[in-house]
Amino acid sequence: MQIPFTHLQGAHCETATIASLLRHQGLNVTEPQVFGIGSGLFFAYFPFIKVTDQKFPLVSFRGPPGSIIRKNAKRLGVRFHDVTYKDPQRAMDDLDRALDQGIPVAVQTGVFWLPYLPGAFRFHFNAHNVIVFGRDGDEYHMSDPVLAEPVRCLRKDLLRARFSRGEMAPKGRMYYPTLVPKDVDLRVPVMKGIKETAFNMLKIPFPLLGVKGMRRLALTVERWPNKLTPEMAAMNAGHLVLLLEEIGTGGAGFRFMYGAFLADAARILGIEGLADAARRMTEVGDRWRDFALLASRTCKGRDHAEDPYPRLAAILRECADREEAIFKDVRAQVR
Amino acid sequence: MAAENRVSQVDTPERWSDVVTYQPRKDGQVQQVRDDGFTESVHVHRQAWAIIRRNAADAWQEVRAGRKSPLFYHMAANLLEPGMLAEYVGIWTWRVRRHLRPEVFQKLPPALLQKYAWALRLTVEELKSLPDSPPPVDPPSQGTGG
Repeated sequence: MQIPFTHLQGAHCETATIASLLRHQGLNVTEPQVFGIGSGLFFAYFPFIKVTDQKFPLVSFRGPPGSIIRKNAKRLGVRFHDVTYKDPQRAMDDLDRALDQGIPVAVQTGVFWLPYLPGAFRFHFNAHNVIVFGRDGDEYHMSDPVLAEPVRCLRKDLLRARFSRGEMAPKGRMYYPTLVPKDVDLRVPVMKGIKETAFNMLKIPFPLLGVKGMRRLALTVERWPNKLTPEMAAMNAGHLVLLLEEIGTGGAGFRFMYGAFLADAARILGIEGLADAARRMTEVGDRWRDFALLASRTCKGRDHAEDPYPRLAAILRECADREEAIFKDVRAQVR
Repeated sequence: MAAENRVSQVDTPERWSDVVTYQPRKDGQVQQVRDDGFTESVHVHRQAWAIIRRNAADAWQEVRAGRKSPLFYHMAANLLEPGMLAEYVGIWTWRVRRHLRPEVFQKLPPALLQKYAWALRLTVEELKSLPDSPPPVDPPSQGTGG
């Protein structure tokens, strides 16, 4: 049994999943629109939260988990059935039942347990969103937004992935829209999304969030060579790259997607100035990419001789300055 | 089945050849494009995997030398830490740590071994033994990150 479903490859699993679920129900939104309306773009640097046992600080380029779907639901007037489970058997039964009713269902999974993904990708990461859209016996048809084609996955593997443990454990979470308005005037949701993102990037009165967070991170990066051994400093740089470029999203990827959203918003809202902001946002994305490239070379040890850390900090500050200017302009235009 | 997540197998030559991103066009339309820049992060991934492989190889040596139980190797090979493994098995972390000692591991009841085997997707026999050779340490020539 297979529900006729259009697979959508995306830049980011969460936004692509939401977009293709909504499209399936007849609401024509694109992935960048979901990202922008959900105010997905953000920057947060939390030196006091350590991730992994190597004690790397947490750097986040997006809003907190679940915020994108929540904001989309609210702003687009969509209602989601969104549940977690204790009992794996019930979680699978409910999934089967929804599929039998012809509903494609998004499930949260741990990538380590998904056999169809390339081996090198399978770290213990628990917040990967995939859509299940059919079942043949104990084999499920899945639309994984990071892949170009739909895939198949065995029941026992899917069950394990849905109940993987550790940070952000999915607990069998699954969700699908139950109420989708057919025609939504995108102007209001887009406007709200932009305003919130601009506020988040510029105005939160806390030094580690938005562009201020980038500058603080720049300061930290600059100090790495003094505070850490060369190996640890290089590993920190590598860790940053992984955060930046996780499945093509992170710093640069999100900037590209937001640039696309702003261009779209210029058309939807009829505000031409946003198109200029879109172009500049894409350019900042390229600078983030330069940052990732230099950081990865640093990690590899190619650039040790030239002391790359001040240069890394300089790029970060440049990104902060540029994004500050962009969002100031954006704020002035959507007022 | 049991073997597919081993660290030694991560060098599958599959590539993330078509990661996508978006670009605004001059006319205000948005297009999806292939994200070539993504490959820049690949060698960092390789480095991360090199560290993981090194850990697994070190663990193999420790077990071979009799200083640790086979559980120590299987844990490293699955990128797990005692805390996470404990969650899968449903016991306290300190017990997992204790089971890394060969003399303690020897005496584990079959039921608990079964739980460990399930968590690590091994048979109990595989859980109690060590692969004949250490996992390869050198990064693969083709494997890419993702």
